[in-house]
Amino acid sequence: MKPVSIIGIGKTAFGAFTGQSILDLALEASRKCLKNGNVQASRVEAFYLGNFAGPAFVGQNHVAPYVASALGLGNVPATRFEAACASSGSAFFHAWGAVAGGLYDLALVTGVEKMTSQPTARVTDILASAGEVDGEVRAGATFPALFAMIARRHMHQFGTRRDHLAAVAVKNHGNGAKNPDAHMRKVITAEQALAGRMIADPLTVYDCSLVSDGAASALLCPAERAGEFASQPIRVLGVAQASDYLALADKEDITTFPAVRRAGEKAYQAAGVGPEQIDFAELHDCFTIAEIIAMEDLGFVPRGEGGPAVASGFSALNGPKPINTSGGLKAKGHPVGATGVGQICDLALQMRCQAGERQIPRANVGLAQNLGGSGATCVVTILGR
Amino acid sequence: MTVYDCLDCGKTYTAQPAFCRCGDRQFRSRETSGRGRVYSCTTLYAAAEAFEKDLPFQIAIVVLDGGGRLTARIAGAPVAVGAEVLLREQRDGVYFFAAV
Repeated sequence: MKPVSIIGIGKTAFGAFTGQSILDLALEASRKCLKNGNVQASRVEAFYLGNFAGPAFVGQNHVAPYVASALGLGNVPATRFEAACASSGSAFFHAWGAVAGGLYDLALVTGVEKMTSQPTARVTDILASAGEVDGEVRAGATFPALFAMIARRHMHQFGTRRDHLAAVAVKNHGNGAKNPDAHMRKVITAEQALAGRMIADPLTVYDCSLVSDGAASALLCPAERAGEFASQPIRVLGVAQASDYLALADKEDITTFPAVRRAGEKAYQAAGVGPEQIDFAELHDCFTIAEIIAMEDLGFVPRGEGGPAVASGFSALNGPKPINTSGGLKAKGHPVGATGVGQICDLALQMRCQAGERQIPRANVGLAQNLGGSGATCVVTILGR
Repeated sequence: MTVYDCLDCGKTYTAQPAFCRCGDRQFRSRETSGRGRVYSCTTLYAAAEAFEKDLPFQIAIVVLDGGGRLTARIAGAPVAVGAEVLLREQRDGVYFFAAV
């Protein structure tokens, strides 16, 4: 396999954008990415699109060739990847594989979701379809409810507390307030988070990520050719995808995600690093408990110690291992199909020292973890400069 | 409550699948007491469209005595992790448990 580099990134702001279609969003991120990589559209050899539910959210199927043709990519292969909230992480993984394997020299990956044109209950319905429709969803489970059961069990087994969950929300909102592209730029206090409207106990509205519109893109080429295009190429040190049961009840232990552990192990192995060499990370905080468990599953902290670690400042912007410097899904926003590539763009911004007010001093090796459903898909990507 | 044991590996399911994960497709159905224990639970205050009329309501992952796990609704008083529950009814493919 050839080493692969990211030579361009581009993204829209994340937010609620009335009047901007799924196509508008995908084009904006893709165009910015091509410009960032200094690459003509006609040179791109393949297009990989991450999109969870274009058909349900906006009634549009066959989104990949729709975007590719509007971008002027010509008649290249254009394929949509669906892996719930890990859709664009999965698209990135497959694009990496094609470039590393020598199939293409220039592959464009774009993730997009247009969510805010539907009412909340309908959005909840569409998101729930990433769970087991014939089982848990029929019983009334929503994604907040599934992660609430995960949080409840984590509390029961490890003594994790609601103020630990709130510490994740406070940290990520603080970081998001420094990110001009974030959906919600609002600093919150622990008291606010704890007093938030209950969605599925113990999770309040402050424990849940946002329903957003947005898109993000990355351009990949073999590392040996990166110098032709980009002044600041970022190396893909390792990337891996793993899967698991769709239904939460099928997992013997819901306080850990085997797919996260497996993808993490494979990505660490490919990169030749361990958790202690990771300078910073973007972790999939679809719910506050998910960031805590990801820290544990990726080996940043021992099992059960994620909550107290966040509360101690371990993962703060000025802490030893900053997590979700972008604001995370919690504050930056969570246009589900765009999230995986969005995380990769945010790692790259830090590594290029372009993260503005939220820039951290040491960003040589970064990790992105993109989760689908209640752990049925996970993609872990490790980047280096 | 009926559960289904794989004849080959013995894994227990609460709904009979076409194939067991071991690859076998022969199952023996077995009647159980419908008793189990709450592994985790939550009360919902926001739901998908079809369930908004039921709010607030509680769901739980129930581990059945003698094997099998499922996500079910809780009827009556709210339960906590570790609570003993018993199947009350099955309606439209949904199991409703209540505290013992």
